Amino acid sequence: MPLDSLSLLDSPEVILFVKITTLVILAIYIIFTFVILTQVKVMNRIFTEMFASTVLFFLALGNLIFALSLFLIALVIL
Amino acid sequence: MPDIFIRPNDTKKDEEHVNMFSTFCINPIGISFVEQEPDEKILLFLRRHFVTNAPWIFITFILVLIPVFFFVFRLDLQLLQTLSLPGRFTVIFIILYYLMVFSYAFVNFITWFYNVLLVTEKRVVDIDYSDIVIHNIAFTKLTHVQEVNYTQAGFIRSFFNYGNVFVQTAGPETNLEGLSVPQPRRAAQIIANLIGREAHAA
Repeated sequence: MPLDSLSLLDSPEVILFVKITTLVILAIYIIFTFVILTQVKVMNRIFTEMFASTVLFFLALGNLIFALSLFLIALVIL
Repeated sequence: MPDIFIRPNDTKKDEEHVNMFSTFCINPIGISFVEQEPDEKILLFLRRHFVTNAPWIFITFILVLIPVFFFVFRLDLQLLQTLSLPGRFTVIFIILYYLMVFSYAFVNFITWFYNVLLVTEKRVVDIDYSDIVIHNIAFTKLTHVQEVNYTQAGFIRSFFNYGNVFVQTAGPETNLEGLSVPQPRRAAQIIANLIGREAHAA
């Protein structure tokens, strides 16, 4: 049997399934990045290093913003 | 001839400014910790030697290169052919993959960054952070410190001069430890001098 006829993503149901799965993974990832951001904030209160603490906070915040943006983009284009 | 300008005594010459990658600092400035008293000066700052980060840095490097490797060599996997993923899915998956790699590296970095041992004029502070949501802070007064030991075993540890420092306290108080810290003998000696005892290898 040729490989083309085995294509799994030909049917709309399968595409919808993959889309929902991707969005669920992205949602879980957003929760994970939110937890990281919260922990960075907590640890910055416990131990503060003037410059580095700010950099780490903004990196964690940027990660969360990227994840949220990716979720919205995926919602639109998938 | 009268002096026009007399430079004041440079009292801060022994102080070291802690940066993001500092691992060993005597009289550090630019850091503070929770419950630090206004007149409490930090005398010693210890963090795991940076070389201990090598495994996760190497893994991150490999993870970053994997998709690049596929694109450069145009490897067509049987599975991808069979699934015939539309381009929009591929783009989302690749961005998500790199975000996850970033998170992996970031979590490893903050795990290293927030694990510190501080020695002040009054106490020893051990800040531990692990597994993203676990953090533990232990304080002990210098007067409660009974013994300071250090261990440095193995070729890598001897080559990069790092090891473990153990601060043993009296009674039921938690013993504090600085794992894989640089210059363990010197660190133990500094703590031992503060409590008026000799540091020795465990």
